[in-house]
Amino acid sequence: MAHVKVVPIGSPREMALDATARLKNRAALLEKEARLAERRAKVQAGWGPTYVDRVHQKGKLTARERIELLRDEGSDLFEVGTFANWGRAFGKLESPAAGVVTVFARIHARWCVVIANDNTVASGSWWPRTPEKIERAQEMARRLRLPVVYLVDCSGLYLPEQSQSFPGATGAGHIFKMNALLSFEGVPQIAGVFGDCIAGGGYMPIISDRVYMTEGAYMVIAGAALIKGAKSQELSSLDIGGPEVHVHASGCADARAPDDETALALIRADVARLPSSGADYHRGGVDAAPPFHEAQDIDGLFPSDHRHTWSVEEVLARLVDRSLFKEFLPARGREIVCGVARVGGLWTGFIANRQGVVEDAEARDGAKPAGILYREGIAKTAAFSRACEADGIPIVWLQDIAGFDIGLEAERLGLLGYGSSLIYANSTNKVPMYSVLLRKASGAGYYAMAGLPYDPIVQLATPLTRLSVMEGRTLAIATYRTKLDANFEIATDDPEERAKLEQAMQDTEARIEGDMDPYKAASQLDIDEIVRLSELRPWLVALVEMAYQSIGHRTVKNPRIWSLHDLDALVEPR
Amino acid sequence: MDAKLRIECLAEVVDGRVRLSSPEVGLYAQAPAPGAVLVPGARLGVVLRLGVVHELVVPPGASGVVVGEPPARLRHPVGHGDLLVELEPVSTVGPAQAASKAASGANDLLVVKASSSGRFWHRPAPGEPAFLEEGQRLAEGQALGLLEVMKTFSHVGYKSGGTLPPGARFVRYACADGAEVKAGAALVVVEP
Amino acid sequence: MFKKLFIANRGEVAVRVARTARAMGIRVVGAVSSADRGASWTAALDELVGVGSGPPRESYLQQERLVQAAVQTGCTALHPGWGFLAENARFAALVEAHGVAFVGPAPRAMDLMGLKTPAKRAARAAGLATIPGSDGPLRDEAEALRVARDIGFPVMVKADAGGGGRGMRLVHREADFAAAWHAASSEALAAFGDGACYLEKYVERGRHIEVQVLGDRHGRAVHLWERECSVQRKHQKLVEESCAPCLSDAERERVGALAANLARSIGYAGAGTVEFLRAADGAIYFMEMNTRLQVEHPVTEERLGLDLVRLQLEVAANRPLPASLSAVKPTGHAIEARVNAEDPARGFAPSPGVLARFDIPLGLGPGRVRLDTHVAAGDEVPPYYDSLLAKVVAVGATRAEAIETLARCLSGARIEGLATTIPVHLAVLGSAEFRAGDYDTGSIPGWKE
Repeated sequence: MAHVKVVPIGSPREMALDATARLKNRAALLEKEARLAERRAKVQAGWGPTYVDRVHQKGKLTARERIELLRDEGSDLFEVGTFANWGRAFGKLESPAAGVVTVFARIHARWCVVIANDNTVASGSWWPRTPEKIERAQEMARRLRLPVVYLVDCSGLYLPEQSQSFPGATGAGHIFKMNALLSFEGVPQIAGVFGDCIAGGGYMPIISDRVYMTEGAYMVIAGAALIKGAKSQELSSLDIGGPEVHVHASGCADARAPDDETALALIRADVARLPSSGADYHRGGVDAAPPFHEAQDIDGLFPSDHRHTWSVEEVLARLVDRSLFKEFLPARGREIVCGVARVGGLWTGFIANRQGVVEDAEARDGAKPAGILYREGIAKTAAFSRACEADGIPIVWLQDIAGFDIGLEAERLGLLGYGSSLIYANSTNKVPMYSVLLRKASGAGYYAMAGLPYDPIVQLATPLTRLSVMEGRTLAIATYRTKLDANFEIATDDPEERAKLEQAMQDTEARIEGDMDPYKAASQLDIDEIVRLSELRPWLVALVEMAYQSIGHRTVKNPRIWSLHDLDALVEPR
Repeated sequence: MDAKLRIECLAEVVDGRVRLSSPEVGLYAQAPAPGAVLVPGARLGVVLRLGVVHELVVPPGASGVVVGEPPARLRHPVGHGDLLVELEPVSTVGPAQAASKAASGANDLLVVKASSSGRFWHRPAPGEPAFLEEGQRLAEGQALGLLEVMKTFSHVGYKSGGTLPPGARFVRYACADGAEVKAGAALVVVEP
Repeated sequence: MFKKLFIANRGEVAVRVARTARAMGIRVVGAVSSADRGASWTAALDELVGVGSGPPRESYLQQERLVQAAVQTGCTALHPGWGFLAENARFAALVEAHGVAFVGPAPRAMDLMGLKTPAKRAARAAGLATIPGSDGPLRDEAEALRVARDIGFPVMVKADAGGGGRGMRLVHREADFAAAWHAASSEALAAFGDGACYLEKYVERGRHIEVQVLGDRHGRAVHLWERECSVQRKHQKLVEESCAPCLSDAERERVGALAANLARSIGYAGAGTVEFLRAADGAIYFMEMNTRLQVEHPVTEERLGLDLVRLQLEVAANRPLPASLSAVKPTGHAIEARVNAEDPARGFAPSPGVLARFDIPLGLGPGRVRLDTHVAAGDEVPPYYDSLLAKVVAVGATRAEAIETLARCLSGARIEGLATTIPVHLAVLGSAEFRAGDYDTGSIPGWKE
């Protein structure tokens, strides 16, 4: 059947979960979200008001102020890498957001990736991980073919830490390689040069298609400080590499602008000349619509105790348009939900871990814990992933997974093989994939569900995320297994030894609990952004729209001829 | 346990035969062959509604031998109330007895059953008050307790349907707080 | 044109839609609850699909069953009628998702006009005046009280997601505000799932004027003149007429143009009605837009010689509106009485039962009578649904002639087995106020409860 047979899913909030549980969940979540808001505000303040004033005194705007002027009025920004270098100290200094702001912004109704050096943090210089953060944003743009806008205000490497940012394969030099690759692949790049751009900062804009310089900006391979005779000739860096030189003599920049505001207006005008978004074409006459079940209610659906379950249907109902969803192969591999729905009017694939308990595919009337992968679930996921790849349906992976099934039966069934088949499919997919670590993202499950090593374009986490190779208790069991009985209970009658063992196991658990903190992973750029649960819907609407913006670079089949329909046809009862 | 869509078909006794008809609108498939014996709880096929499979089961009080051929089309369109299968009562259970069985079902205790084995808790956490108070009216979806299966805790919510009426009243818990229960065991007793 | 149409409605609505469809050579499939199975009106349909037991929640509101029924009977279009799911955007989207054309506007238009606040904003953007009130729904009681003071009492507290006269509270004095606010919010939450309320200045003794509009899927929209529906009991209409006696020709043209403007500005396709309230000082305020065909549409049809259901079907099949439509001039005067099975002597309590006799004389003159009904003698009126028995529409060359025609017809009607509202209609038609065209929503002319 060529129609995509979406059906209503979800129930009104009172029926989704009772009020007491909802309120309790919400209260616990709000606490965590308050902390998230606090930390975001701290990062967004850069090095603080003193440095903001300094920028203003020079007649310039801060990076975030520039972004405000760049984006369409009333549109939302979606920032990634906010917590890069969170909790990392360089001597007495910190580098909030690794000194660079990377956001998805709407400019003339087109999604763009904006990369803006934070001139309130060490004059926008590059710290360890700054290059990786910039490259990650460039890679997002490359995969989605989104125009990149560079707001360059960068004095080069933060020299005391140069050994960690200069030489490596993903060090600063790789940024320019990414510039080259973006250009090679036809992705528009526009640069505004706003300040002291030295060395790396000088190289950053050049490969861009259009370069605008403000009157106070300069680009130099080396600043006046290192040029022999500059001091005696009273030559400043501005004389050596300002607009007079580069707009006119060298041609390394295209136009000069009297101030930040004008430069930003010129950049906007350039974006307006780019092709408009193809998203509306792909909507096929169906308007974007909010979920029928109030999206905000997602706040109350997630217990903070990770042993308590939540309903995957109720969550999906609050993420998709009109809460209409089409599930594929619902009777098989019930530990996974695979399906499609419109998000902002555009077809999106969802792969989500069901929670709670599901029927055992191997034993009559048996039950097994969900949140784990078994043979049918893995096979279903692989088949669905392949079909979405063939059909050009962007995939959103919603993770809350403990891992694969284990034991003799699991090995005999060949879960290693099925899992590898799934990994192969995900590894060779070109269709845009986004992963969301809702709660647990554990071990091989995290890999199977297209975690970061499998190159999703963006990986989001929530304040409830727990990311690690295994759960704390599992690790404690593995570490102390010689002291435990067949049921994983401590096997000793000596109360002192028992107490010691309990303590040791608790310490092991506590340590890995610390590792699971999403802020730690975000600091290392292993998570692109931590978002509130209620921000998931707007994020998905934006990410999906980005996936359909650029026409001609990827497969987008019309739904009539989706391979997904074949899966349905083969399992329809008769 | 995840809710697989399983619904009881409608049943009535007409001219000595038990007529099982469709509780749904959709395409009826996997009809039983003539001669098959069906008893309450037995599967009598599926109905596909907008592509979603609903398993049909025989309701309490109805049983017999399937008479008549299944529909020619493997996926046969039916509306609510349309005949699916006719049963000739088995000689030991006459139509009158089949009807009275259906009636006697009303006298049984109304219970909410466990969807899988596990431990059933009356309260959200140790030390907190139980979810329910005697005589309390139950709203749709209202939490009755927690079912712990393999260290995961799922809310058991009140779902009306079948013998359980909407807006039922909580009478008592059918098992102790923290008791080990098997799939299908009674958890909560309610009354209309 | 569609070859097979599914009607997701019952009774008089199904009969009305089926009549036009069959006249166009379209086969009609109807939905029936088990309570309606065997009803005489089901003969108006070519095929029937059982959709559940009596209560609407189990049958006529079962969205997935209705869509599946349309799909499995090979219908290529679905008409929702009015009431039930006619203004349910999610239902319209579901119908379309499964390849069946929804005979109505796009889901987006229903979303927009379904909530009072976005609807009022859209109206203002199209140049219509709206009643002074809160700009948007309020959730905070203190803020609501401030707004109420600004507007000036008396104020109406209305549910943002409400409609059809439900979810409203009139507050005369500030002292009564808090209680009314709480009552309205909880009622709204229970009835519509959304407790947000907005405030409006209460226009006393206003007159309900509504304009029929029609748009196509190519961006055109026209108005088809107005109806007056000020004879109401608890916001439920009893008598409707066209043209509206209180409007001058200039006002008539203006309000029609405004309504067409609104329809055009939101890209409205299909039949719809824009409802206004005319204050005693002549000011005309936008109230709401109903994104469906209305009960009283025959009044418009009889004056213009048009079949609105036919036009709906043509719009749904992507036909552009005929250019001649805007030039159609109304002739004569039409008045409709909604004959309900309710007992006016017992507070309009519903009067279910068996219709022992149902004779409505159509030929008594002086003008002509159109009867839209689904019942006949011997029918049992089930308790689950609204109590409308028949719509009696009298058409005359003049208003006086129309009144006389309707009065003669209703006086000559013999309905036994149930109580009906005919005594009220006769009282209205006989009253000096109604005859003078001088009545409003504040009271039923000629009838004191």
